[in-house]
Amino acid sequence: MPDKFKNTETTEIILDSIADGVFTVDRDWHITSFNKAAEDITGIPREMALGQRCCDVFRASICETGCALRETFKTGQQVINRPIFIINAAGETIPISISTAFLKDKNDNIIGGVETFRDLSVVEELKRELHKKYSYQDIISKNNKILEIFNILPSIAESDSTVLIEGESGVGKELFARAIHNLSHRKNKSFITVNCGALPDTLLESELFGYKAGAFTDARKDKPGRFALAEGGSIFLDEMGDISPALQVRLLRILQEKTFEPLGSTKTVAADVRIIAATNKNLEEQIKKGKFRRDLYYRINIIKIQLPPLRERKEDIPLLIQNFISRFNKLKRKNISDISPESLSIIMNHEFPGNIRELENIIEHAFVLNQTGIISVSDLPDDLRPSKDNTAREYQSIDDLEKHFITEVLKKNKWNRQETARQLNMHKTTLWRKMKKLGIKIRN
Amino acid sequence: MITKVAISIWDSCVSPVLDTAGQLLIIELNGSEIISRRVVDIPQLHLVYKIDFFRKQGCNVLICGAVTQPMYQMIISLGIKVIPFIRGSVDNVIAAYIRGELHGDVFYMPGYPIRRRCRCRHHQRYNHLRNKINER
Repeated sequence: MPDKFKNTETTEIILDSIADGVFTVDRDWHITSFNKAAEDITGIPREMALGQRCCDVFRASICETGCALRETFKTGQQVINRPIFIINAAGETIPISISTAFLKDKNDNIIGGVETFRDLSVVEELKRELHKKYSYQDIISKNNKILEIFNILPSIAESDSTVLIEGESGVGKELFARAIHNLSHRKNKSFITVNCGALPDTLLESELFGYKAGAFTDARKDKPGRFALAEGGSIFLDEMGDISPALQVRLLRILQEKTFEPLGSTKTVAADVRIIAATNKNLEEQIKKGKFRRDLYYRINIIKIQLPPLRERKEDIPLLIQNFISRFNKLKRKNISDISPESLSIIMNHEFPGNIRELENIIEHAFVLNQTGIISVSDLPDDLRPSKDNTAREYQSIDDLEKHFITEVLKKNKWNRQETARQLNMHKTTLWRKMKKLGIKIRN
Repeated sequence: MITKVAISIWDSCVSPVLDTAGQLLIIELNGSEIISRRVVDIPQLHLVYKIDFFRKQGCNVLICGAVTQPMYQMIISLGIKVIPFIRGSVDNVIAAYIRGELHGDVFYMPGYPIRRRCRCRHHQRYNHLRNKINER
């Protein structure tokens, strides 16, 4: 700062007219100036703050563990908009974002630092309100398609009809099934989940319908099936598209007649169970291939809910991350407050083939590695982090750039050329031709 | 009677924020005589587990810097007397505590405790601020 402006009335007036809090410190961390907004945000009058150690006045969550000014002095890099909290004299936490920079004299010597900070109380309050608005049962979303589903979910729950939930793996089909059960009159009875894709056919049959003693070699006593356990409640049949044609016939019967027979039994048992089915496959295509019965499809497809994949509802990612942070803080006994903007940007650019489950895994991974309280790029899984050669790379020609770009998209799609071509909006043959021309080798 | 006093520390000073403090100095006092002195690391865990850590230390008094309301309330609910918003070098703070002189601007962080209202024009804005804080 030039001498003529140092500690002058002009500088003070300029600083006081800024809505952001600003204070400066000398090399010994003593406050040398403190503007009006800083007084308002911290609740400490200027005359009390001047000459004091900044940590005694500012009382920030990072003073001890990761002072931003100290970091700037050490690395020479500015810190921009880092979210932290400070504590006022009433013991209230005030969320703020801070930015830092050097203060230099006319000979370019560092004489101190400047910290600007913005009160985020209103922003945080709005975030909380939005969170309330965008959460329903245990589901969080602000995506229009999902919000529409939220609106019709109570009516669906009331209807007692069979529901089919379609969506890719990891989109949260079970959460919606649970929500339907919890909103229905069956909420006080059991909610039973069966993963039809996880069990072999014979086991699944005995699991669903139960068996009588002597039905087969090891059946020493009666065992009730999942349908019997769900009596009066709901049963969630996940990965319905994976069940065999023979079992499909038995399920058709239970849907049509509301009765079933346990294995080895001659008695028919009535079933008062609501069926909520889910699949990550396109059942209509399965019907065309002859793998799924059309009549069963029509029986379960009374109400269909289609859940969009996470890549089509990226606006939900920040909300979901906050939710996972708060959950993992409790589960893992940690105290992580936020995610850095750089990490969020990397996550937002990811395609999420594994959907919300993949996002949850990413945050859990970050929880294991994190030491600072804010999830940074180094806490993310390796395959998500930008490689070093990526950032420092200089392209020799347009072809070089194109080669790199196509390779990256291929990698993202696990070297699936059809999917890559679709994403690049070009024909599969064009992509193949380009790969040959640019010398991109195919990997399996 | 032996009193166990804990002080959240950072370097050789009182840690500015208890919620994020890394170490606790625990001293045992017999009257004005220090019988023992040891430093323990505060685990960086969720609030509930931190409170459990404080409980396990078995201290009667906790001297600390700024502290959030939830943490303050939870610690006093354990029957621990908390002396918050203290600053300065640990040795000075201990000496002042033993003498019964741990108060005043030298030891209190700026802005604490929230003072009585002054009606002069100069302080009107601060009074307004304090009112706001007190209302909350």
